[in-house]
Amino acid sequence: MIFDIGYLILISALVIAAFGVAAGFWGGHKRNTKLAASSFNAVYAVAGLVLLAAALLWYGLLGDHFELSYVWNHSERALPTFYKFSALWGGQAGSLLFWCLLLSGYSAIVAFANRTRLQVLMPYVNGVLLATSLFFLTLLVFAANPFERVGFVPPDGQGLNPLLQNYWMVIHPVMLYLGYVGMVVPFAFAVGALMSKRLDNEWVRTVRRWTLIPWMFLSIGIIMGSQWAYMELGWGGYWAWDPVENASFLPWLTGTAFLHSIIIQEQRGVLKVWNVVLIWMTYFLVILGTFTTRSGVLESVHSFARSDVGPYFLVFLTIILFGFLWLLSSRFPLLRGDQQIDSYTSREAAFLANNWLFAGIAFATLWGTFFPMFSEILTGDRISVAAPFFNKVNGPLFLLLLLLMGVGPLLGWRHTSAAAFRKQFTWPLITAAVVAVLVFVLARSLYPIIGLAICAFATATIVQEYVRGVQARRTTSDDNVLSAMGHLWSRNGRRYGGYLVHLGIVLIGVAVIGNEFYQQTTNVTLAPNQTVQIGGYTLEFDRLESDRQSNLTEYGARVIVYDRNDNVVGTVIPKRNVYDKAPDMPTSEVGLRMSPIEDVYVVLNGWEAGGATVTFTIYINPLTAWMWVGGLLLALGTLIAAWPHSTRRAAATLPSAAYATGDD
Amino acid sequence: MMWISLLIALVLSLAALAYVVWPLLKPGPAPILVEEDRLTELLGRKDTIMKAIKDLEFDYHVGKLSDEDFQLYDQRLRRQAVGLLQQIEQVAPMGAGLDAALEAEVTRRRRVQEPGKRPIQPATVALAAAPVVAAPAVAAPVAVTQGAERYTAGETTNGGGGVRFCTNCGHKLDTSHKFCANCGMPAAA
Repeated sequence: MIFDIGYLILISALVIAAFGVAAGFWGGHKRNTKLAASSFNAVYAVAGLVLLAAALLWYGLLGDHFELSYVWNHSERALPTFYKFSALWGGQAGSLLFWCLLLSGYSAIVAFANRTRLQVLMPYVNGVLLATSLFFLTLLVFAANPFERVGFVPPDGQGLNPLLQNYWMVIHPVMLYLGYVGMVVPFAFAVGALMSKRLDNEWVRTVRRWTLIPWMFLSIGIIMGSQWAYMELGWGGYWAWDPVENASFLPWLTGTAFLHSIIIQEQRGVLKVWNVVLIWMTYFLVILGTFTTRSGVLESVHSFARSDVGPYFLVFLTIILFGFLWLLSSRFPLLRGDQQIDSYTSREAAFLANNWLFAGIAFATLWGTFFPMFSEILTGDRISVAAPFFNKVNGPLFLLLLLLMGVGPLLGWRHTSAAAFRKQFTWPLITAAVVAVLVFVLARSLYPIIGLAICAFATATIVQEYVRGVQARRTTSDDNVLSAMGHLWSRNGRRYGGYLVHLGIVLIGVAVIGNEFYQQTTNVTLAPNQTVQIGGYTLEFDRLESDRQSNLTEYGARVIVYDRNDNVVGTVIPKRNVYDKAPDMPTSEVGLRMSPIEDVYVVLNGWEAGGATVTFTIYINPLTAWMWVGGLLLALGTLIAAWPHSTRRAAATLPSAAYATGDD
Repeated sequence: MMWISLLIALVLSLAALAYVVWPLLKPGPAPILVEEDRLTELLGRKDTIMKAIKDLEFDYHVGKLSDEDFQLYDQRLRRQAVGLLQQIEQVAPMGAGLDAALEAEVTRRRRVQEPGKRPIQPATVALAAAPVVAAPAVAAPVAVTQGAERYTAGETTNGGGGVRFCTNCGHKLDTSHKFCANCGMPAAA
């Protein structure tokens, strides 16, 4: 039977990964090139075997092999092929296999890309990557076998969770996993640097790109998750601070802090301990997040005892914790900073403050996420902290971060004099003041005034940086503005791509402020042709219609949207999907009219007498579209920052222009 | 049927295992990775200083630094760079290229240390170009050095063909250079 091959392949991959871990660490320690080469081959072999196992599970899913427990539980004959394919990550065992597949893929790419570089580090890097694969293979072989049989051949499967039958849920987990799993790579380099005692900037330079790429995927994954929540869950928002969301957000916070603080290490040779701690925390939070979202530990402290994978995760987390602490303490003397931070009015001081803020937000989020568990352990009562706690604590911290995002780039390395300070801050401060006055005139509310003024300040900083960069370039070349800008991106993508990422974050901040402070909502029951007014719009319920799909029935309420002048601006159709296999779990699809100013967001709650009356919840969400634009800019900026470019060639041909644009 | 699956799985597993242990089965003792840790570290630090100098100049150009701050930190960084070059020379003393680079550095250091005078920009270019010149020195004695490999990439352009010299100051020119790395004079065709 072909699926037995799948399980046996996983066992082989486990054995080879274990061997590869030993070969990597021992080969690295002894600097033995044969063992090192063997660890490389182990990485490739594990990747090949895991890919084969995943292909077999896909074969089972696409071919409706319901004799496999996983296929039986997460698929059905009528499921569209698209969702059969994505059912691989729709359940526990499959998603662990998918985790392992992505990790082994990342590992193979890292090993191949560095096969002739960093020869002292790489055996250890292979060792750490394979050790993580080994852990997930252990889960697959001993606790969550995706090839487990039912014992008979059921005629049909039980269907995929209706919430996952959505195109966002096909792509969103992939992005999130790519981000999550990819964070293992910089951690592996950090451990490699610690173990090989090669703690100069070499690993930091290498790891920057390997952190940026997963960071981009993680960011896109989180934003896509928000978009899914916004468009499908129908509660009017995009982020609820629930444990699963926080599980993805925590490594993002520490990963972002790491991306900033390695710049100071590279520039000034300081914060070496902090950097390895940050990337370890990111790795730890990735594994912890995977654990908490699977074991049910956050629903109840008792549930992980019932979970098959829980104990394995706890053991692995303990190993990561103590193993790293031991490694860090043994290498501590080698991690001394080369220099001191010269002044508080310097960019490195701003970066340091940024790191404290990220750490503060991460701690508050971690505390709030695990508080129900702690309270149950300590008092026996399960006390949950909800969104208001997170908003109250993290809101001001995020605002400070936005402010620093504006301040940091204006400061020079080492020290900024009073004259330079004035020159740099004048325009951003004027812009912020103008926006503050405008917001005050339009809507007198303190927090949005402060928030939007800070967003304006950060945006003005970015624009000023671009203008001055382009000017500096144009003083040394005949470039027009556009090609000068292209030059900035191609030659110093790190700085100018980073600014685009900042702009993306500012736009996301603007959308959050708009939603948080200016959202309007109403609940209404309408008969056909009845209308309701909200936020300058009139909405008229036209009719209820239904449409039969392969495994569900779609009910949609047609609603016509008019503006203040009674002109039709569009039609929205909020829907409810009733699935054949889960009729008591109807899913929602909101009716949305998106615009740069505000979204008209209509949720179909229910109906009576075949559509004689229909109940809606209607929201007017200001500025939300900018969140998705911000997400796109963030991805674009990260790509520019991570894009490899040849510096040597350009430096050789036109050295005088090199420093004029700050090329790296 | 069961036996066939077992057989296929066994063949696949053995093939994977053979691939992994293959490097260990090669005859002869395992070569030990010889890497000049100290040299690699010094080269890395020098690279960092070079980037810091460029960044400092960029910040100065866009008005983030005052003249005084720029001079202070620029000189400090240059002193560090010269110190590192000297240490690199001690670790890997062979090779005339490094001597040439060091001479250029010493020349500029004299200029830099003249009180009250701003460093001259073309000198910065010489500093930035130094790793390219320094490459042959570090490539020769170290067989399996990734840090050195990185630096030898520029070195190949140095070898072969006719050697060119600057018509203004006599500095040796790399074949790919369009300007003199020492004085900034455009290279003669």
